[in-house]
Amino acid sequence: MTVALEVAGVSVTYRPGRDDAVAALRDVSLTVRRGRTLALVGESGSGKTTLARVILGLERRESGVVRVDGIDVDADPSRVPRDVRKRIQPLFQDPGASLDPMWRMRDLLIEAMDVSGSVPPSMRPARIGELLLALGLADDLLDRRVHELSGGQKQRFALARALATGADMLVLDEPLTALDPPAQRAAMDLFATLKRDRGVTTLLVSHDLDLVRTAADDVVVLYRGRVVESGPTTDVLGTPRHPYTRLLLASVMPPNPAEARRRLAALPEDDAVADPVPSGCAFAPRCPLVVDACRVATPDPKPIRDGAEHAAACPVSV
Amino acid sequence: MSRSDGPVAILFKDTSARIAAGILLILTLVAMGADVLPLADPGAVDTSRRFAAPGLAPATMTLSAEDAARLAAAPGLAPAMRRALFGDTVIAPLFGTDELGRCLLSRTVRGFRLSLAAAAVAAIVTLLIGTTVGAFSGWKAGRTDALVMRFVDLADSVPVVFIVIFAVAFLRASGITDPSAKVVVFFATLGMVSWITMARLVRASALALRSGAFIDASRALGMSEPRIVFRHLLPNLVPVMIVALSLTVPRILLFESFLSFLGMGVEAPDLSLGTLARSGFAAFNPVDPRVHLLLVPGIALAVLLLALNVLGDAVRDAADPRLPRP
Amino acid sequence: MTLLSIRDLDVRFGSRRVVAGLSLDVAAGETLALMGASGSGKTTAVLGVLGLLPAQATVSAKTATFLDAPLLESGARRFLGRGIGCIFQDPRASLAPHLRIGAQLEESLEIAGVPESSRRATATKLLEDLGVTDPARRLAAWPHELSGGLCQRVAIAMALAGNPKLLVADEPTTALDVTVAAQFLRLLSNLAKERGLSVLLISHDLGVVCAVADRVAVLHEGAVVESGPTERIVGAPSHPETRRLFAALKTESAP
Repeated sequence: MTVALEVAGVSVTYRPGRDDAVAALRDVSLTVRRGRTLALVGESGSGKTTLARVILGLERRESGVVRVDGIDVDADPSRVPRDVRKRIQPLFQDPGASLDPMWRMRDLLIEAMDVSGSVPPSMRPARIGELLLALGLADDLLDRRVHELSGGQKQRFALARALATGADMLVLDEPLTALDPPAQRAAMDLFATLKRDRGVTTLLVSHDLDLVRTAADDVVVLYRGRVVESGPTTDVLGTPRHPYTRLLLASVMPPNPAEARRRLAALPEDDAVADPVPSGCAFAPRCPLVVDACRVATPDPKPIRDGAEHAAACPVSV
Repeated sequence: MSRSDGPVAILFKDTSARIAAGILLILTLVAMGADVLPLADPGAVDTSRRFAAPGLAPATMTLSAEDAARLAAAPGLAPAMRRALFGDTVIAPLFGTDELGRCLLSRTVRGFRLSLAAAAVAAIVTLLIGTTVGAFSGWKAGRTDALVMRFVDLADSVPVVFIVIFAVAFLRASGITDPSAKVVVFFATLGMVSWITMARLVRASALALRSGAFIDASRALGMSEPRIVFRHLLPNLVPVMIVALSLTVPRILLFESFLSFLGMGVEAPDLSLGTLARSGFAAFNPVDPRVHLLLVPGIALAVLLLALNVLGDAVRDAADPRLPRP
Repeated sequence: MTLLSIRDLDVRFGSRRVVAGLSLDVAAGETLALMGASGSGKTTAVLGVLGLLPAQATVSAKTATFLDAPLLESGARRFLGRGIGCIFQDPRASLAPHLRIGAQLEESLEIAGVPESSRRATATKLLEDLGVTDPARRLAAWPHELSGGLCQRVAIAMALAGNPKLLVADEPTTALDVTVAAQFLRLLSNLAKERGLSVLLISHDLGVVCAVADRVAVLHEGAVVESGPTERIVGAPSHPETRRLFAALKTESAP
């Protein structure tokens, strides 16, 4: 299978005074194969949104390589080649905010085709019709502006615009948080359809482990800017090796009173204070398995056995 | 109201906006067409009717032989049109007369003309300089923004009234008596102060918009910076631009009247609402207050300001598609 | 013993009836979860009883009592910060950004009637009890310097300042990270156990409700359609609206 997206050794240090206070990335690497969905999992401060922005060419990185379909994405956001832009498109957390409030949906779609040069003018009406059909949107919505749409419709138009560029790679940033439960279910069905029918490659950024379990083939777990565990979803979420991944899974309360209470009682005492990242393993202060070596050297992700895709950055548990 | 209604259609569904726009249109037409209308010569002295009170009867009069001769001799298209349309008929001093028996109606119309010109200059300078400086500063953000905004602070801290006094004094001292030189200085000063509010408001709005998701989405689509600025940033700044205009223009009108009232703005024979109020104030005395000399230009200014404010408010609402429509 | 008792609560905004004949009881020491789809009126009902709705809202009830004292007529506000503590969805937004944590916590203690001389010590003790390390440093901090989890703990400390009998928590975990939310739930269930605190929890997260609630009341169109012990309601919901709600919620957390 070919590699659609490759990230190698990316580091970002955040300038203080920005909104996203803690986020920084250190030496992050991952690959997404064509047609697959890779989930980037982590909590606030893990750097998952920053990484997504670096990949999209919206954020400057200090070091490392990002390749989209083998094309280098320039570290300077203003010099990212247009070829990259039309291959990979974002779906932002708040899809409503990503659509210009002054513009009608039709004009936004036409603009995306125009800027990317993906569809010649004569073909555009047909292409728009096809996109609306695929995304389950009614024609008359084209004349509306974003404030006249429901949450689900906003997201679908944001998706339609992304696909109008001809992109076959999507970055979905917490795609369900802005939606109510019925719209969430519809959105998940839609993502599955896009993957199945169009072979869309997806980078899914989420803290929602249930969504990740359903939607992702592979998972990368980030903790305070570093990859702590990665591999196929069934392995990482089924038999987690890194103590942080285990804590994450243990923190989700199942919809079953007896089980939820058992899980709650079994939780380790944890202050979860976001103090400066310590030297050595960032998770060491919270880790139940911590040994002295953890506080000295920063562990790199290692395959859990030779040749395994499942890797964890914990010398104690691997 | 259908979704496809444009901002103009939305604007004119609003009754108060229609009235305000109508008033402004009429005032502008009257001021611009003052030379065609059968108005008395604003400078024509008639000591037989000093301090006449306002009144409707008679509504029209015939020009004095002297004035008729002057009108007949006046070159240009406007007097010719007036002669063809109205002959020797002239509107009586419905608003009363001043200390020299000059028609206050005619004088107010001329005063309006200058006030409107001041408003127009302020609007144009504000839109050009204020929007450019504000949008540039907010869009660039960071160090550029800090630098530009310090410059704006500097411009804002210039004591404008003193500058006008110096300029007027300088003109007097250097023996320049051409009244138009004074008007130029006057308008230049208005321009200097008028754009600052606009720059600040537009900058704050641009700063907030530039980190918005739809600007990020535009970048991710590979749009060039000019395209993002002109097609996505600026249209979203229009509502705040209108707010700034509706703050600035009335302020400049008042400022103009204030300066002229103090004798530092327009001077005879040019007229503005400020100079009219000034002479009204001079003619004021407790025994015979002759309030109409103060009231007429005052009410004229108030009507103008009110109409501008109402219209500005309605235009802002109409320009923002997000607002719910009744 | 019944702590909070509500019969036939109505909340109207003009002609729109948002809460329609809602009845519920919270017993001393129990945690009651109020569930319902968005728009079912759960937050409006609770804010209405507490007198925290804007003036356009008309709130009426056959009875609404807290510790047998009427809530609506005399105004529930006299119980706020004393008998009733509240925590809200976004802990950071519920802290004033311009005041240090210590000042805000001490203000809550002042409202609760704690004498000035002992406020600082009480504030320190409150944070310690909530598992906050180095409370002195936290008291001197500004809200923006604290993580979401710490802000939530400060919010709880402020709610507990008046030594309340009832804690009202409106979607307290939605703005928190998973691990932080779990810690919060553990803290909440420990508080309920150790202090005999009653909790009225508004939540749409089935896992959260299962973890901490003794009883569940399900709202639909402004009225309770089903209520009972958590095990029974979650395990064998009988009302169709309850089943519909749980089915919608479970898609979020489907295996």
